[in-house]
Amino acid sequence: MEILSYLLNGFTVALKPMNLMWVTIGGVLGTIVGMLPGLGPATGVAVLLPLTFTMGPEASLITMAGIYYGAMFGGSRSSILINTPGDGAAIAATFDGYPMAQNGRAEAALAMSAIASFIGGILAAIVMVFVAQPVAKFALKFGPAEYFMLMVFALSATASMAKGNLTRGFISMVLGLMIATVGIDAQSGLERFTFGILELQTGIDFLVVIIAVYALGEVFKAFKMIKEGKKKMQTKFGKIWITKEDWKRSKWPILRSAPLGFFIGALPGAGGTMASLIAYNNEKQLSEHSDEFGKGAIEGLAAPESANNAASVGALIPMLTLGIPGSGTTAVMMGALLMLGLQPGPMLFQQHPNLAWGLIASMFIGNMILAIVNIPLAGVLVRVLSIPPKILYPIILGLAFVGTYAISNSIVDFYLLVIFGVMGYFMSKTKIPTAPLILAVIVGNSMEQSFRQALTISNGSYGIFFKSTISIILFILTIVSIMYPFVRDKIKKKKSVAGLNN
Amino acid sequence: MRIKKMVTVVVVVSLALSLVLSGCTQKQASSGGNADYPKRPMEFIAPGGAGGGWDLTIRTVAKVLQDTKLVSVPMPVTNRPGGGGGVNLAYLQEKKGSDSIISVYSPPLILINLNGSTDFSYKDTTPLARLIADYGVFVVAKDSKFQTINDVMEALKKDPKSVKIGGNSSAGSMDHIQFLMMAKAAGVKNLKEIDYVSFQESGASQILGGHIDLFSTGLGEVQGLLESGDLKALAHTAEKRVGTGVVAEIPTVKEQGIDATFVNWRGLFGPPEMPDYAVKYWTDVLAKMVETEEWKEARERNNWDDAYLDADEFKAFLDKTNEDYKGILEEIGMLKK
Amino acid sequence: MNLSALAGIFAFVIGAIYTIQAFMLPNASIGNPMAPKVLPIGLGILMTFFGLILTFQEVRKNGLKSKDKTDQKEKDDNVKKIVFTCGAAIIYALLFNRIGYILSTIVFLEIVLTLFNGKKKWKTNTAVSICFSVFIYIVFSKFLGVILPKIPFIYI
Repeated sequence: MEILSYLLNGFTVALKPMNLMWVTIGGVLGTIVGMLPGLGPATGVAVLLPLTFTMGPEASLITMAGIYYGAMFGGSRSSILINTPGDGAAIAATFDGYPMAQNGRAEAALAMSAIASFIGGILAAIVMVFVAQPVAKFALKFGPAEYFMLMVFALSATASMAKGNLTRGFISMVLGLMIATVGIDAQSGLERFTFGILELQTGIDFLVVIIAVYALGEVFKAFKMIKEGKKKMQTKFGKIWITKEDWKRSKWPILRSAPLGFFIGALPGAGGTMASLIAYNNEKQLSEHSDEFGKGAIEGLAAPESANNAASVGALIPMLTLGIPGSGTTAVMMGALLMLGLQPGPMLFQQHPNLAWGLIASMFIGNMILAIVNIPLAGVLVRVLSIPPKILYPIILGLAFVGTYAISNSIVDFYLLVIFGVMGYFMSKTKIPTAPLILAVIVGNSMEQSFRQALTISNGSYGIFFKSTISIILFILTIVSIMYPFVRDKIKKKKSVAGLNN
Repeated sequence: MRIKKMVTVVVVVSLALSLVLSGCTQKQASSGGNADYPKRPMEFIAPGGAGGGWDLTIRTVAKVLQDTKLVSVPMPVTNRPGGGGGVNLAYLQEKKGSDSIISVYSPPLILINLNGSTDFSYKDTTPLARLIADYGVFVVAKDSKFQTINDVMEALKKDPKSVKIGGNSSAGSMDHIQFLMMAKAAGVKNLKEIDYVSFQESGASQILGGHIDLFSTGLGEVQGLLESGDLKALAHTAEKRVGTGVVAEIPTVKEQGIDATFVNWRGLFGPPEMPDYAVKYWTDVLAKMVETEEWKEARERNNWDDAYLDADEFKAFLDKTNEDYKGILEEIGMLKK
Repeated sequence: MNLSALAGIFAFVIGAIYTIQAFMLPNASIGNPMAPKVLPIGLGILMTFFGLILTFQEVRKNGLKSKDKTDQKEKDDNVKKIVFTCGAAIIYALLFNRIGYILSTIVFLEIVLTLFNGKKKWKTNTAVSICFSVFIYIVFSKFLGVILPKIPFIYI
């Protein structure tokens, strides 16, 4: 097959010693950058931009790819260790990764996240080689109506998150949506809820909300727990590896989440963040241990990790095949490509096949190197847990603020951190779940804009939302996603009643 | 008694010294002597995020200036995004009179003032030079029923809602305005009725997927897709034909009878009240830069058209464009009084 | 005070204010003039509604008294710490651009570490503040190219 010979060519490019070195350096850099809250792959790639002038297109492209995957691996490190996601795609890792670390299973969590990321990335890379073009074409079928349905589907995860108390769950979700409306409304050019503050015109970055709710919220909670002596440092550290049981439980979630993540990543505008959240919710619904989700279920960590690495591979598809940035990071990469004189798009494969396939080959290599590097790296990182909490928490605060500043260089975000931090703390004290809020902040703006875009196109007819097969399927999935948690509980109750009767 | 006197003297002298010293360092910041300006590193600011158009442009300028050794001090680029360029604009006001800051801007500089996003305008900056231009292009899917831009205009004249225009900027911004200016020149009336659909970044995939009828964007943005034939360009908004290959085959709106142009210009600006010696230095340096081989290569690589104007010509151009945009925004009711 | 009931009241108030603000938004000049307001108004009404429901639910279940078992003194202490941390953050924000990253971070961390660690451990606190600030500055600003404000006059 022609494709395989191209790929082989690509491998010869990617396996050149110089390039191997670059992808490793990029990968390690990316992991470290990805770990720091507020800094994501975009920062890493942007940082390397000046260096790329001297390296030559091949090496710079491959290094950038290394940084990109590295950041995907690294983001979850801080999620697991200090409940502060390194970037959007690592949020889901906090749900179960952090509880695992709190339960003394940090080593397994770190190991699993690396393993799941690796598998997700490799699977996606393999699939990518063969289906990049068809997937790209399929992704084009997603118009505003389909995007809207996808966002609603993502938001429907709220139902399972709010199962205990619907009122609280809804308050959380509505609050998140309200936060999402702040900024300039793209369809009309109107400013909404900006109160004259310039920096709010582009809206409130969901990362700021996340850092505030998770990092600051965690610190506020710590005040009480330190007093009660509940926070202990970990003094003994085990091997960074997982048990057979861990693997058994996580195998299928990983394998299921990879194609899901890959495809969502291929949709321009939806990336690792959405992919990991949808995968998490998916696995939670399907799992027999679903009650453990949120308390340290290993598959609750494995699934989103697999999904977000797969998504980062998928996000390269629109960039490489069509020259359309699939996410913020790929937009930066495209900018870098342009500076190198390469035009990403359909012609890239024809004009510079070596480069394009070298990039794809580097995905395999990059993933492998990063997995190898990350296991011992995790051994070093896990020592973080041995820092006395009284010192660790202020450091977390310091990181939270500097990370936030790194996002948009604006002091206004500091005030937002305080406001949302207090809000997050208050929510945890009143048992209002924070996950629906985060989800709503992430999808809220896209969801509303897509809705209105669709209506403009259809001249006001709501039929557009049910016209295409994709929309209808997503709609059905949404209904299932909302109803399933309740139906399942009913079935469980029936079963246990029947069991009692027996 | 004597001690008190001594203390007073010491206090007064140190106060005086510190005032003088701070005044000195201030002065150093704004009048480091004509002969050896620039002595300190310059701050090159992109009012947008890394990888965006502004960022790309100013980094290219910095690189060329360095490679050609026209400038010997470091010119690190920093990003100050937000408010469509408004956040940086406000920052420049704080740095009034500074001689070590240079920023890049393009049409949004004018638009954010006209639509009320910010109270500051291009008049609150020191224009140094206009360097490059990209142009607006209007593309359709390769199997679209529209063959020429006039087909589109005719359809709009009959029914302004019949053609859905998509763009990547929000309503009232560049992608929207550039199309409306052409429509107005083509004689389309009720511009307010034309449906503009704003996408985040996925405009190109939307036109490819057939979800919108026409995509208004920058010529540089869709080059790859034009070359591959996936998209068809109906027209672009330059004065005359530009580019090579596929791009050179795109007709201008003017050729097709619509008497208008839209220039997505990019130029360099200093803060308000930039000192004269600094302005002179940079206008000279930039005039030299645009003649260099390195700059030409960079332009070609990025598909930027040479659109050099010196400071005075640039100012005049900005005044004119300000009036042009005012007219359009007023028609669609987005002009802030 | 039953915190959850308080949360409900907050939600109600926030919802009400938000709805009023939403109504006051100007009309869009292109497209449907009401379009940008629809979602905000809807959200505001929902929030007000749910806030009301939560308040009633909580009051019916637990009354207005708090169920929290911790004694008042400790609760006050926690609140005090949180308030001080927020205060420190606000000071941080105000100083940040004025005295540069390193100095303002040292001030901020010193305050927070004192809150956590106590005044007695000031040596440790100061050491950590300084080390962290300098280290992060070097890593972020010099190594990663993130822009952090410099100390005025010295321009480090």
